[in-house]
Amino acid sequence: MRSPGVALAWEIWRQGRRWAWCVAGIIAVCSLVAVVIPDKQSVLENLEGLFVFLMIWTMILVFGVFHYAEFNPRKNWHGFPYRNFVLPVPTWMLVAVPMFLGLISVELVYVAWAKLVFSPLGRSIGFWPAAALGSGIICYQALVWSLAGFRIARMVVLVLAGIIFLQLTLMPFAAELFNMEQARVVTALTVAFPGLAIVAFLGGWFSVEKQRRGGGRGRGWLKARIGQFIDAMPRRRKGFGSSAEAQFWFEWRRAGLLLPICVGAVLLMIFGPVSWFTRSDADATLWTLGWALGLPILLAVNIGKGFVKPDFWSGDIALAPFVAVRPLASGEWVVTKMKVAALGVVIAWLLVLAFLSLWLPLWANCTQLKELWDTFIVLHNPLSAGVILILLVMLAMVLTWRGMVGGLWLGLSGNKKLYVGAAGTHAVVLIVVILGITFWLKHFQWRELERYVSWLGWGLTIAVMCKLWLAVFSWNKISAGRVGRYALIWAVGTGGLVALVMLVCPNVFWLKHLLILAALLPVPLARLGLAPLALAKNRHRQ
Amino acid sequence: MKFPSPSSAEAVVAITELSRRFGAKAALNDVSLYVPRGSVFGLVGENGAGKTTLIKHILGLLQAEAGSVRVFGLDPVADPVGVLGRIGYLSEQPDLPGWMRVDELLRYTQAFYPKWDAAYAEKLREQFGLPPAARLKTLSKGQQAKAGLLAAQAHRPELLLLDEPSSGLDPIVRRDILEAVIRTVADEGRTVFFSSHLLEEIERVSDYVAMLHQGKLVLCGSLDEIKGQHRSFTLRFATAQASPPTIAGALSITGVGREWAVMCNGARNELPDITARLGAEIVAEHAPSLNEIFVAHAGVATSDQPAAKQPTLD
Repeated sequence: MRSPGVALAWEIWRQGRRWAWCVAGIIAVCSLVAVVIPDKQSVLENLEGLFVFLMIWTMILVFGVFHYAEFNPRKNWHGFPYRNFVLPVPTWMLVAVPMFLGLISVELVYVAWAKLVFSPLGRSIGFWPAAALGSGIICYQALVWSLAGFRIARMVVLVLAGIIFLQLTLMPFAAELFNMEQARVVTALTVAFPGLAIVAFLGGWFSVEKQRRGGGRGRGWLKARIGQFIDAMPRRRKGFGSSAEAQFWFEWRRAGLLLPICVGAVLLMIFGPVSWFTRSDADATLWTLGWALGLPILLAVNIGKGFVKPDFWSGDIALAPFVAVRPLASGEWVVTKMKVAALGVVIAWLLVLAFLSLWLPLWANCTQLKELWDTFIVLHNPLSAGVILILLVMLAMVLTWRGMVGGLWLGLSGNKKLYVGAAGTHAVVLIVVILGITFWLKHFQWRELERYVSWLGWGLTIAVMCKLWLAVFSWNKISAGRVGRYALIWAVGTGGLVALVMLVCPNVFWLKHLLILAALLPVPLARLGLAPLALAKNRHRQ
Repeated sequence: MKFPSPSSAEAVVAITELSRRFGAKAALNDVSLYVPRGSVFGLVGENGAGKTTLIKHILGLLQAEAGSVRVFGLDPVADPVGVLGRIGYLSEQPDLPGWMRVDELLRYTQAFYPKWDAAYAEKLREQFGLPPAARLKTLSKGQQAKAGLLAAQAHRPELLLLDEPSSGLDPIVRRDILEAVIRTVADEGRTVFFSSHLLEEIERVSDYVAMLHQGKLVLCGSLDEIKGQHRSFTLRFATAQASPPTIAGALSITGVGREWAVMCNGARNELPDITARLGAEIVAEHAPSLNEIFVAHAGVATSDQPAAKQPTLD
């Protein structure tokens, strides 16, 4: 390698080449399908949604490849690779190489989708979003590096920046809302996006340069103020009654508050303003309510991916010796994580309920909601309605908790291939299920209802049988006392769901039975039994 | 290589024919050693010799592929709580959670050890000059090592395991760590097992020494025994030697021209005859330091000298 720039580029390629091949493979397969299948209309009807979905995923992968940040245990931050600071290379080049490569890559991927996949299908996708993507990846890198020391704040800022970028990208399609011509919006943004990219580059350069000279995180005014604020907060000063209590404190401090903080931040920064600006719109009230109720579950599924690891903030899923040498049984540790997740879920839901109890009576337009409620009251008496609401909240909490702890057996295994592979499998299964349901609904025929019910019934029965069989297998080596306690929790949770089905479901025999079978599935059972075994395997490596 | 073992009642750690591979590399190869109760046991070896791997087996962080590991007569994998509750461990890398404060670390650690001595912990904290409200990530490397040592020692463990505790630390911290070793020994019945590159330290405080080389145990025994067995001789030849004289069984032969230094293991009686046959005479003899013994053993294992058809020792 004859120049530092090429060496830096090679390093990024070496780290991300697998994902790059993955992106190339996805585009190649989609392009092949688009070119080879003669019936373009059929491809468009059945696969266009999948192509768009995969296109988004490939973009996410490209962003992941050019994330270009590493954990620095000494400084306890996750930012620009610290080791590069000793290279005899000017800072602007250290920053420019990953940014330039990211820009080129994301544009190439976009053009590849446009020309190789959508163009053969006769679909012309505009090149306008490419400008947003190019600018977006540079802003993303600049934010990741600049906010290296602000973990949660960085997540929130990245989410907000993503939302703003998405809205800016969609502006030309909604120009009339701003009483502007589409062409003028496009012109304005054509100037704005490259300008934004230049500002992001300069900002990233400034931050990395500052970090390279020993400044930056930890010395900034904001960080010092946050530190003072945290120091002023009440903290535990008494000893722990037991090792389990100490471990609970440890886990809670690491990742317990993450879900409530994220839920609170999204409610405050997104749902609050949105609900205020749409306060006269009755339709928007229903949408906002739906999203607010789904918010903890969606966040839990994502945060849970990190929560199930031994340490949320570490890229390494092996157990750190500091924790591994504590004289604490693996099962006790898993129970602690489950308890921490449960407390986080309860606080997150209390925040949601607090938001709803303020928003709905004070500034929401509840006309349609009230109509729905009145209908509901007619169908069920007020007492049943109250019980149903409580059970629905319980179901939502169970699903949120499941999102947090469902993958414990993967995260605690210390097996990165298993962990990443399972995440990939989940994504594929999700796609297949969505596509399957879409296909099914498209070709739904009432006269086939009996057959559908039969299939669904068999599917659910097999799922329940598998769950119970796996549970017997997975809980086999757990102490009887612990099995008994969790069996009670599972029975109460599942019993609540069955009761909900009995109360809500209309008196249709097959539907009620299908839903009862489905109610046996959400509360995790088998996978939690596997978690202590997985942790023991991680702790005592073979 | 196998070494005589004390009775199981005397051994705090008993490792028998332990082998471990990482891919193609044999990290540990048929290692057997026993750590007597109340002793200071030093483990030496170059980087990658398998010292940390061995310590991880004692902690139960690695399962034995072949052979067995018993600590206090228990299997550390099958009964981690029973074993780890009696061990204090300081790792090579400071892996303390940076977000914790010093007082939080002590309270957190205390919860796991019923025998935690709070007064002793406080005394050590003051002695080490660790501010209770300081976050661990703000401490220097030496202070972090001291904090780790404090947490490892304050429950007065029956076995103190130190993995390269003074690696990269300044002399003051190294002194503190050595004092900790001595203090632990002073507590009746307690045992210290520590690995180090700093052979002077091992020599200063160890009762027993084991040497690992490329996963194999090449030396194990009491320090006095080992030092007594090894002798270093200076041979003078009548004429300058173009290449090192070949003395099979010698651990190391270094020098140039007429004078050559030879290190032998337990064969000082045979050497005069051998040197006479080679046309040389012994002009000096001294007891080698542990450092010299270590270098000689590491060299022998690496060079794989031919032993046949040569004058031999023993």
